[in-house]
Amino acid sequence: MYRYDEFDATFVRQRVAQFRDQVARRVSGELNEDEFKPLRLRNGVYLQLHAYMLRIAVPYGTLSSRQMRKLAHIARVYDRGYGHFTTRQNLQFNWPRLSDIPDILDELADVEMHAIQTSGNCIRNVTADHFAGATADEVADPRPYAEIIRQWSSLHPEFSFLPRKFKVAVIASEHDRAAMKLHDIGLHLKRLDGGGLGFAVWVGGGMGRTPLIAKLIRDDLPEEDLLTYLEAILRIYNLHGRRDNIYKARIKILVDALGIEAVAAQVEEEWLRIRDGALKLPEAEIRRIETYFAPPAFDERPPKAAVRAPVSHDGRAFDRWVARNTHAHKQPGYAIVTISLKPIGGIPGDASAEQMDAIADLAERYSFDEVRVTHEQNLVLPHVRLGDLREVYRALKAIGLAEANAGLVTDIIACPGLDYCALANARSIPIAQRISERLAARQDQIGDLKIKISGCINACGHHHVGHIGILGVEKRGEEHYQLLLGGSGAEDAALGAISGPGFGPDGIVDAVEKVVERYLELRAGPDEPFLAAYARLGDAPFKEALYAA
Amino acid sequence: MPLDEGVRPLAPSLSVDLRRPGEGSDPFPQQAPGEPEPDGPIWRGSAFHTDAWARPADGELLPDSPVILSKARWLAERDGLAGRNAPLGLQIEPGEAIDDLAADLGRFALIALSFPKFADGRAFSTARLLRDKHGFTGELRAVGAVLSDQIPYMRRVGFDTYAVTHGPTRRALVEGRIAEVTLHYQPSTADEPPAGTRPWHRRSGE
Amino acid sequence: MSKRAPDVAVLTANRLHDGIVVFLSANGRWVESIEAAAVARSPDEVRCLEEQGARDSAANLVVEPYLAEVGEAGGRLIPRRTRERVRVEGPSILDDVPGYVPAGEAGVRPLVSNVRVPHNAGGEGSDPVSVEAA
Repeated sequence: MYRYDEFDATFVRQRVAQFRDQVARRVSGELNEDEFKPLRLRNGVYLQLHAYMLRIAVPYGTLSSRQMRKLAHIARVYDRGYGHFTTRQNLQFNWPRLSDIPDILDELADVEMHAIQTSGNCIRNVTADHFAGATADEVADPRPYAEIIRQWSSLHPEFSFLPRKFKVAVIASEHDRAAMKLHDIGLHLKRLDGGGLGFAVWVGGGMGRTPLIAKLIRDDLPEEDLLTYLEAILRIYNLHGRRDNIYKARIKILVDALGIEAVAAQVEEEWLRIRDGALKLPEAEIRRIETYFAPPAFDERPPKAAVRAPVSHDGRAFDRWVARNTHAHKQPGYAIVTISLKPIGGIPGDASAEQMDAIADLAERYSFDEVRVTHEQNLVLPHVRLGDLREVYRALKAIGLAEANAGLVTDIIACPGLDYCALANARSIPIAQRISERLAARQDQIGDLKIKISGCINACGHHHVGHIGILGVEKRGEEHYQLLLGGSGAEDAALGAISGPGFGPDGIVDAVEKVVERYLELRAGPDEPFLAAYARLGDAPFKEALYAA
Repeated sequence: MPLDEGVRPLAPSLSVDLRRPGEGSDPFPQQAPGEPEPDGPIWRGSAFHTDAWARPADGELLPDSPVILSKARWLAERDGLAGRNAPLGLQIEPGEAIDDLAADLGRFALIALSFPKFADGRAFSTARLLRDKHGFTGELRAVGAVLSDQIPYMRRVGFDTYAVTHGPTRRALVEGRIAEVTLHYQPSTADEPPAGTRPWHRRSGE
Repeated sequence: MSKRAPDVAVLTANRLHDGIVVFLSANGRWVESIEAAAVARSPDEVRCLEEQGARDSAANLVVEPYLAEVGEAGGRLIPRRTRERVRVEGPSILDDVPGYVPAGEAGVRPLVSNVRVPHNAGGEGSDPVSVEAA
């Protein structure tokens, strides 16, 4: 993974010093809250219902064990013993004191981490496929490009006061594991006709009040043109994005209003002007950054025989876990392990300091010191030898994180919701907990089913692209929930459709169960997952299950 | 160079960068109208100055001294101003195009770009286009909501002068207390020497 | 937020230096417990609360003060909206949070409750001062 050099290290230290100064000026009153708010947001500091929240950047979801241990330490010393992994591969602490945050940032800088631009109307954390560098189905590791974009976008003088937030995701496979088409810019790394590497560039995706799927703006951008092209897109957006209405300010609105051809033409014109300028990527530089992401020193010896037959009483549980939570690795003898942060009835995406430390140990010992954060609020050990799977499973069981439910109905994505967030209309976590408890016994039978829950229209829970999505609203002062069906954040990106009238907090759990039961009744067989059945059947049978008297 | 475990990375012993924006980076030397004046509104270099420029309303008679016009007025009175001796300035509001003025830019000794609210960052791009695309070499002035934390960005995209009314920002400028990150990950318009190992990309503010 | 001034309300805000939810009490101090909050029962009292909130916000003690409508039952103040109930009681799911350590037991630093004492928040650590009786 990328390692800071002196420039990178000095950069984050200066940034911390600058924020320390800004905090002091806020406390002294030199800055009022209106003036301070955009500054603190650009350092990842929100004000939530009960306390501040600090959102720490995990660039393209990649962490070392040392970094994970530091996060555990911060949870212990400065917060209340836990953290929350988010749908943008970041980590949130829910109780930091403003007065402590400069110290927290200095501690993060000790391990090459920061909270720069994790909020505010600027370019946010660049996310990537959480199986990058390990999966067989990628063209190349997308993360070097994510790192290049991260640097270019850090404290960019021209793009620090955009109309709205700006999110970029990078993938390198036909399987979109990063919801690329739901980003302001999505980049799909591929081989171009000449044989070199380049990108299909998508623009104008996003969720929220006006969910839209990104449109292809350019199909064949050579890698050397990555930054100049992005700069052109950002410049057009900065100049022409709406600023009169925060719900109409993302680039998706501009693309929708002008049409992709018109936007592409403006971008092309500007890009051609700057294409050969200072931001043209030297090939040697791309290759140099790639060396930071070179594959680890895999054990090249032929893999041992297939994992031995279970000898302990939980052998079946281990088998289920291997079947469900491991993914094929490009290197023979290895597997990609998903650590589900969705224990049955638990809080999606949360981990205690002790769990973080234990996972850091596992990463160090069994995964070449690397762990990933997924946008579905789980963790990944990317490079685990098959022969070590049993030990990893045992260790995860000891910390309560061995649920074999990756991608199952209990692997629910939920935003913090009204339990934490000042923007929320309704709680999302308890809904996730109850759905999980209600359906856990049948989760294997149900198969792949992604439920995503947002506590408000800002859609941080990605409810628009859940196979089943739930949106919390406020109705006559009470929490109320809308149900959406048929969304997908993968390469078959689609926005869920509202099923009909909403439900109360009890009703929504029943509603999800009814939808699931109807699916089980009508599916062609256990091999037809929910999304396929929904596509085949349409929403009529599900609406009937929900609303028929 | 990879960092060693546990070693605090090198940093200059800087808690706050005390460099004043504009200092040492004045690539566009010009006549400096107005005397240094502690209460003057215009920050240039390392001091506040009186404002030598007037900004008459669109219908007002133009005095025979430096004036800043709106784009609408310029377009309306362009030909009539051909023989004018006193310097001309132009103020562009966010959302106003500048490409259609490309041929005229040489007429202006000063262009003011407005930041009606500090969150409205359109003028950052307009400034860059004026410098990089149109080659404007006159004074580029930031007006409106000009605050401490935006000034380093403004300088980097090509502004020379700043009309500052916000009290704490004025004090911070005078006392040299604008905290800035002096290492830059991306090239921009202001004269920044390449830094370190990636001259194509990284810049130093030093 | 209510579109009209609530009939029976308390003033709530977040403390600037640590973000903790506080309520304005009758003696002008900000307290962590709603039970000690000053209750406004007339438009004049409501306005008085709001003005004090605005003053303390301008004095950088608290951020985002606002009126929260409350009901009274069994001698206790119950906020009307779910949102305020959650603010008063804390996240509803804390019992299920892995590793949760309540305030005051966390790590090294004691929490400071009394915002009126001048306080160096420049990162050198809070000076523990007298804890406001909740």
